[in-house]
Amino acid sequence: MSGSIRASVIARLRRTPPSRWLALGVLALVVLAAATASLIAPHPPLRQIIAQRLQPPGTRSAVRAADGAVGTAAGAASAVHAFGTDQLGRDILSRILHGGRISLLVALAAVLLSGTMGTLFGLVAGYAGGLTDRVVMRVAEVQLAFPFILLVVSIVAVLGPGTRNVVLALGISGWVAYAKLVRAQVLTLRELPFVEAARAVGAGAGRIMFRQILPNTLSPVVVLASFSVAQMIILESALSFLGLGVQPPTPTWGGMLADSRGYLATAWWLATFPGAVLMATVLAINILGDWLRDLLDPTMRI
Amino acid sequence: MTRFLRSRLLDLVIGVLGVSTAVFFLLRLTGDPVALLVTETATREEMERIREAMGLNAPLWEQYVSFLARALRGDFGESIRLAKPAAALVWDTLPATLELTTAALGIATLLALPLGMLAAVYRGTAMETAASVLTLAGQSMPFFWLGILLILVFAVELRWLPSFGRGTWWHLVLPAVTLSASTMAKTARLVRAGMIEILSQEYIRTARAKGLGERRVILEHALWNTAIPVVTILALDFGVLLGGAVVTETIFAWPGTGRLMIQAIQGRDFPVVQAAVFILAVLFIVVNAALDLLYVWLDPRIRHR
Repeated sequence: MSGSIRASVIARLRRTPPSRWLALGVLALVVLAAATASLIAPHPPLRQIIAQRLQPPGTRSAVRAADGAVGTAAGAASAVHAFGTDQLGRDILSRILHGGRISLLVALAAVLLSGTMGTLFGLVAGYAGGLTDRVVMRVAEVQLAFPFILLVVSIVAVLGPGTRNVVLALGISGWVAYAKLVRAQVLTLRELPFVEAARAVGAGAGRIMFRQILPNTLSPVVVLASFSVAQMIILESALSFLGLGVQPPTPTWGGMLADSRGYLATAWWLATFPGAVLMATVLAINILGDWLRDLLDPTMRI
Repeated sequence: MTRFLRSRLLDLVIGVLGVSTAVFFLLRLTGDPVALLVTETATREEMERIREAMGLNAPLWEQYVSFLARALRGDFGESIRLAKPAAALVWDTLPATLELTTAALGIATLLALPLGMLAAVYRGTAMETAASVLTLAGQSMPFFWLGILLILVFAVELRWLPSFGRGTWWHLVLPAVTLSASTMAKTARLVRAGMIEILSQEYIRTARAKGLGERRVILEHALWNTAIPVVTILALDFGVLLGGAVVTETIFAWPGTGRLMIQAIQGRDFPVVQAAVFILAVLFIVVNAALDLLYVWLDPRIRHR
């Protein structure tokens, strides 16, 4: 990197609004907390203490910390239920930490699946043109005729609930946006001189598609993918909320919100904390998506 | 114009055919439909008899054709759990869903227009910041959580509004607001972007130069020209709202098609699932086709493309 480029990058980072740094911090925190959930969760997420059901935030735990942990930070944290307990006496903070794992992993896997599918279909359709293009785009049109959540719910209805099926349903539902985006770009790119040049020196279709064209379509795909991580997190939670997603007793944010509905009049904390974490995560990803778009492809309209 | 209409009509037909094909395979992929119908003690012969009676022994393409013929007549068979035709159950619940989605669409539009306009007109002021914070929050708010929070505040704490069921206008408020949030946010962003672009156009300068008041410039010249992208996003979001209704209806026990469908999925009542998916998807296709015609009215240039 030459000196002047480095200077301009630094100047650009300085101009970045603080909300974006905050979003980066929040997301880093959520990812870190989810990754280390089994180490930092103050209580086992599935342990039920019926005697301590529906305790408000800050209640002292009936279960004493393991002897080795007494006097340590972990011991102090496990002495209370910072976010309270749910209807089965399970620690809400610990369940949120573990639930984050599921939310993030499912969303990432779904985005990876839909992004790969969509990019491949868009690339082939755009480059091959003709019948291939028409068939792929027709399938895309039909899929778009289904409202998105309806499609996801229908696929889950066929496959049945469960983590793997949720990833499949979200992944299959999401490919069209990528395909349309990539195809539109391929149509322009394939006419450009550098592709012509590659063809002239004898490069085959596969080589041209993957080595020449694909790298040039990736920036908007990355931007779209970053926004859809946020969308997939919401959808995964919605499915779990409906009881069609990851199944209990595995803790999920959506599942916790579904449980909370029976106790709104008596225990507000059941709904408040998982929802707040869910929203903070999605908000952070959306803000970072804006940032990524400004950096990679400022002309893009998402 | 006729060519335009004909191609739209073709899209419509292909869309409906595609949706019915998808819905047909939805049932066939879920395993043996007979196993869902009979009790566990049924003998092999009994199951075979039902299979023959239902036409499940015919070749797949024959079943597909007969399914298509019946689907287009609105016949999806009997509900497995409730002894009623599946389509009738969907038609009974559809008005409630349409009421909810229309109300949400209305709320979203009524809030998004002023919000987006204010953000564009008062660029760089606190007004814009406030509007953009509101839209970003609306976009990132998981709507089912918003629904729960609204219940907590307005039904449980303040006791102002009912939190479940359908009946008076008051019952409509919380579900409709819940459902409208993301569409409102998206539309407001779009109105703002469109307004900013249009306000820098020459004809706006001309309008100002000939001495029109700022109010007239914005309301008569600029606003109308943001209509097309706004109508587009609202049209696309009608589908989002239909989907969102599935979740919102479950939160508020709103007796609509979405809730019916979730209950049918949980009870493995596949004729009802099929009927609901088919009718909602076709509704969405028809609305989109109708909106294509609306564009032509909004922007006559499209006719000549």
